[in-house]
Amino acid sequence: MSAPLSKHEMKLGTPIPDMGEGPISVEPYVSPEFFQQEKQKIFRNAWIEVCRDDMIPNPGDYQICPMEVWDSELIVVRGKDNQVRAFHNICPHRGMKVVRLDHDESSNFQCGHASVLICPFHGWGYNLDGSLRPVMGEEYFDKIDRDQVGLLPVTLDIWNGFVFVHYQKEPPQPLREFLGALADDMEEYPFDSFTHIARYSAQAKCNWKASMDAFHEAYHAATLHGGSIPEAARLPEGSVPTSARIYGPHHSLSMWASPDFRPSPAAVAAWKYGQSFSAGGEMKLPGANPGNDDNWWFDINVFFPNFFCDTGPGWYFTYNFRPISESETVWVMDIFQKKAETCSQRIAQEHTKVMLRDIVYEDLSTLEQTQTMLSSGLLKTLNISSSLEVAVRHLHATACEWVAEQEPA
Amino acid sequence: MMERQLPEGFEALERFGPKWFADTEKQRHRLRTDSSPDDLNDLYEAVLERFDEICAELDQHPLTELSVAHQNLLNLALSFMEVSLAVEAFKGAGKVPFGFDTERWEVHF
Ligand code: FES
Ligand SMILES: [Fe+2]
Repeated sequence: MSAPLSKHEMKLGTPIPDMGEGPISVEPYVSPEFFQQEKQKIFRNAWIEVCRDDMIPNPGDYQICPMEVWDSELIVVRGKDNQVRAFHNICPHRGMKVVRLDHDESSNFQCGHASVLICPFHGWGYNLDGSLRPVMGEEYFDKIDRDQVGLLPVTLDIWNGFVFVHYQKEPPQPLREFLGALADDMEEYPFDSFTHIARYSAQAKCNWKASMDAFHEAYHAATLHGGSIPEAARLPEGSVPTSARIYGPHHSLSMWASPDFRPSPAAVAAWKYGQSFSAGGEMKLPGANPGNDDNWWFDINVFFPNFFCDTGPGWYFTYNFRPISESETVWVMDIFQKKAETCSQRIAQEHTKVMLRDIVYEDLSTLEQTQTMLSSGLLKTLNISSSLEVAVRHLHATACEWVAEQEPA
Repeated sequence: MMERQLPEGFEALERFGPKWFADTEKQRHRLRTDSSPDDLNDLYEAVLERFDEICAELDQHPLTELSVAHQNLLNLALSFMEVSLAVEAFKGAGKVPFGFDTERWEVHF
């Protein structure tokens, strides 16, 4: 007989839609054909998060956002009028990238500042609103129609500082409507009072959904995180979220913090002077813990298709999963905390970062090994729990539904 | 006269410099992954023992205007946090056991 897993029940904050029962099909994780459908029907029909607007605080600041799933790359730039705009990074003269950065190894963190964007090939220049400037040797060209020839604009909107883009000129839904009730729950969280303290990234040979699945269930914690947070292994009831909510294509889960948690000496030191990721945060922030759960640790909030925004007591972190192919994904994690005012708070902050980072090293360790074996074709289906892994089923069901029902854009 | 590496009273920790006075998480993480369990333990124990004193000393100075010696002390405390999980959870291993490949994992800050 095995021990019961839970001391607590998982509360449901919303009705759970019918998502089928029993094992789920492996095909959406491994099929190149399915991925081609996803590119058209999911990633060209949904709003995609690319960065925060406070990463480009001043007019002329820009950020390059790779968008492999559109076979493109974007320039997100703040104009002289303070408006944030996005353009495809392609020069309408002959197709060169207009902005190229000296790549050091920080190739996932590409920002810069310019008053005009000048293509490095033949020097065509663009204002920050995308309009074409006078061209050198323009008299040698047939008439250049400036209404037609400029940087190609991308639909963009911002919610709570998060910059989202849409492939279509006229998206089927405005951003806020698309984000729906999950954004209602999170609306009041004070995102703009946090500072960006860390970024990690990796490219993994794993499907984007299988990659996300490693991050929106707690069932794995008792085993996989037995190294980094042995507390979780000692208390397997941490495998059960305290509550779950499904809002259309999006979902959220609240994580349980054991009241018997025994922090390590470094965690104790961090908590004495500031905030740590380890359980024990008392800070109550609006826009988090929507179920008002006891022993709340943090919320996992997942905006379909590929953006996580996990909110905690004094820190939050995001993941973007950028699909490259059916079996390759770029993962980017950003961590934000209340600004450190003192040296000791700064030291405490480091604990949050290091702890999250080391835990996530374990999460990522499963991705390629899972994908390699899924690709073998040995398994046709996966055997998941309908409650503990409700988010896995929901992402799978939503992707299948969009592929079946959405029109290609 | 040689400039002091650390503020007065913290001479005993100078043996960790300049290595563990590194400025960025990227550098400190690299140092951790390349260090032996004995070295990580040594650093962890030495800083943990003085942790409250270190915070008390540093908090007399504004975070953004630290002298070289105080910045070194702050960075040493950050190195302590960097190695903390390695010592507390991973038996001194600088790389997360069974973790994703550190060579393909980018630390951006
Ligand atoms: S391709 Fe840009 S100026 Fe020629
Ligand atoms: Fe995990």
